[in-house]
Amino acid sequence: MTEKEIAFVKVIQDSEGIIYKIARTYTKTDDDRNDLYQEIVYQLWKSFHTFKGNSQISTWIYRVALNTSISQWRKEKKHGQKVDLNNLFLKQPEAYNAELDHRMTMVYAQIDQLNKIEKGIILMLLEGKKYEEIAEITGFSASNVGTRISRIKAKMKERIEKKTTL
Amino acid sequence: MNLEEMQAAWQEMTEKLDAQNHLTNSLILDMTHEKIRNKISRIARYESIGAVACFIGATFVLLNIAKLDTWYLLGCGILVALYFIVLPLIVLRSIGKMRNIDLVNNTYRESLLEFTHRRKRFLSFQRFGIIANFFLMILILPVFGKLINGKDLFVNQSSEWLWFSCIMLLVLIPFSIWGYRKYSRMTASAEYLLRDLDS
Repeated sequence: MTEKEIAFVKVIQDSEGIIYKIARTYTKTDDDRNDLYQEIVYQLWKSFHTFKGNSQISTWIYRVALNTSISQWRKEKKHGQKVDLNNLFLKQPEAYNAELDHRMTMVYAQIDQLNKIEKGIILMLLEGKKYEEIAEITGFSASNVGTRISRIKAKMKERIEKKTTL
Repeated sequence: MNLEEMQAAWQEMTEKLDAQNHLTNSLILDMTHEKIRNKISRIARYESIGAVACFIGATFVLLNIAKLDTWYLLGCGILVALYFIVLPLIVLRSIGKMRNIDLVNNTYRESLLEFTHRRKRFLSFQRFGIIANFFLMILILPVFGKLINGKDLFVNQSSEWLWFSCIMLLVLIPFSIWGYRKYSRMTASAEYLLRDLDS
């Protein structure tokens, strides 16, 4: 492996969870998730030389991964090798937890109801990012991020109330 | 499930994910290779097939343009050839533009704005294409009638062509209504997203 490859592999291994969560947020099926995961890794590799260390590596990863996720539409494999990532994450016997799996299904059901703008923001909020960090990655102002988060909360609350009255 | 519960589940999942290191060096390097990306979007593939069919049609008309021996048939022939060349090029270009977004320097908001604007433009071309198909049908019948059968439909209106036109319309009308509605819905959703981005 070249020096660049060694450095890149390290970055991806440190961030594989983040990439998985982003890919999971923007896709519905395992197949699409695998495709998006690979596309994100590929785009990160392609732009790896542009990362100069001026910002945090996680900010750069979020930016490329989120931008890749929204500029994708359903792609179909024509030919060529595809890395099999099926059941790589969370479905591994040693890590599988049915109760958490159920809760995460509910989490993603909530996220799936949101539009693309809200998905990006809620993803970072769940990641524990501060408004300023979300603003830096998304390009919205910190106060706009706050407003949007309030709107997302209200939307979710309304949905829960609707569900309970039914 | 409220936001706090979502955050708790997310945190738990993050801890589990962080505890797992599944990607091997070779798996990561495999993902960086171009061969894995040897994919083409479904939309681009269908549009490319359509474009090839249109270019074949345009070549056929242009190669036989001398057979269109009246000014009105010649006019129709030129319009048909232009339609067959220009519209697919515009659509393919708009698809290409959607795929060329700066993933590194753009913020999420900028990418969403660019992508949604381009998508809206692409959908508008598609809607325009659906309406233009009706005009194309009016133009294409006399041109192909002359080129294939040697008949000037403006002078000799045969019942065969009338039937052919009716059948074409019967197929085209429901398909066009369905397509137009679908693209209109998608355009409206893109417009909604753009308004939301500006708010």
